[in-house]
Amino acid sequence: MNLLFVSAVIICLFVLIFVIKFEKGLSRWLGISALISLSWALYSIIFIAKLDRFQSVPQKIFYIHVPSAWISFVAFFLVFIFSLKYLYTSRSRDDLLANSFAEVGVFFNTLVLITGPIWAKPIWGVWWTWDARLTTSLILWLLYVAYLMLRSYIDDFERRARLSAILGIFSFLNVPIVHYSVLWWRTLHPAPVVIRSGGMSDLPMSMHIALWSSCFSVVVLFIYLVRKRYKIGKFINLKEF
Amino acid sequence: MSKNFKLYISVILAVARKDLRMELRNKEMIPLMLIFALVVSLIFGFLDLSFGNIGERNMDLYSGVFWISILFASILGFSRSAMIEKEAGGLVQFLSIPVDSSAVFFGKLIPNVLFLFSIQLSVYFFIIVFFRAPVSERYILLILTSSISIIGIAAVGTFFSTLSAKTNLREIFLPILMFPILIPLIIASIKSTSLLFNNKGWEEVIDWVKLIMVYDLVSITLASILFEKLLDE
Repeated sequence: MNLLFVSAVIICLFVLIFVIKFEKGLSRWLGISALISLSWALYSIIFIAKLDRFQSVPQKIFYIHVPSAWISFVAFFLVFIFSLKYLYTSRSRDDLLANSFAEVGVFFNTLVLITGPIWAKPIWGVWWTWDARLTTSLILWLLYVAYLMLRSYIDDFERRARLSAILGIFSFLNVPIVHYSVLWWRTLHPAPVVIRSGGMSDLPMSMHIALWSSCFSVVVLFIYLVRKRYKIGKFINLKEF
Repeated sequence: MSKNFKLYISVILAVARKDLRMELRNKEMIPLMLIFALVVSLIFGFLDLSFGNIGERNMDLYSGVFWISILFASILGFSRSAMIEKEAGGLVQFLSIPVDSSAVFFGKLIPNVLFLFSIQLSVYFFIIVFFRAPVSERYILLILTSSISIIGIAAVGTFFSTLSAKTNLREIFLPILMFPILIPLIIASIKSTSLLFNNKGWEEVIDWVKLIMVYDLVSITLASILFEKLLDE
């Protein structure tokens, strides 16, 4: 336990030095605050949040699994918005933003699909099951991975932007299906605990602290990653022309 | 009947007629799709051999075999249909007519649907004869339900085959695009087909058929609206 703690602190220090040395301006502040809020979130998840009565320790994956899922839905919604915007304006900035949101969204969705089975194995006894929520989440992941693959298989800039905008619009159809799948079908995956009427008061305060700190840190990390990806994309576009 | 509407219908019929006439003259796609579907169902049917007559107790296996063969054959059909357009210059001559581009989409959709309709009966016969699948009493309902699903498969396939024809990987990319989107339709189709193989009544099947119909409506609407953006060249 001690070794884990010490190595985590050392890694954090390295990342902190990296961020302070190589980032400028807003990215520096975002990077530092992402690091600090992630550390605080981790501390609150491990030490502040009370143990769940039935699931005990594995329930704590909830604090990573759920905010990642939320932010990936937001990311894919933004892909939808900027895809529509690109089809309307044909500006490369909109296409680049859509791509950045898609990449970071796929990253967080992958986290969801990894932490989910890790949580499921001790609780349900299986790594995976084909209920509506898990199936539609896997489809969502596949759709946006296909989006990223489509972008890599087209060289012409205008065609790539237009076709991936179309795929971004088509794929967003799945996001509300994923969210409402637990309400429309009987699933093994639990129905929404927090996002429902009266849900906020069901959770004890300690869990709220952990959940919302984790959510905040995930949002800050998301913004940091998207900005980074956008800048890299702008640089690549410049080099291509 | 306004003039615009007549023009719209005539564009749809012209595009559809072109592909159907090509197929009637060359007779290359339907036999190819049919043989491919039968070969695929043959290989999947060997699951029956290895599990020892599991099929007689589990109708899902036969519906699964049927739908996998139809899906793989449809990939062939859609890729070929999109490549024809790409080689011939990309439907430019139809774009110059002042109609909504969704007419071209429906014109491509009709031959794709008809090709798949024409092979589904043969695949059913093959599965019934070679794998001892039961001849369902509700065979009319069975064919009707699978026809409705095929319309949905063709809508998504037509749209994405045109999209993937414009990438570097051409038609190889089509399954990666198409299959995740088709998964809800496939689940509903397999369930409804297996219920009908089991001679279950309309009341049990109707839920899945409703899902198929909603999926068809949504996919056809979305594809016809977005098709115009695909052809912007």
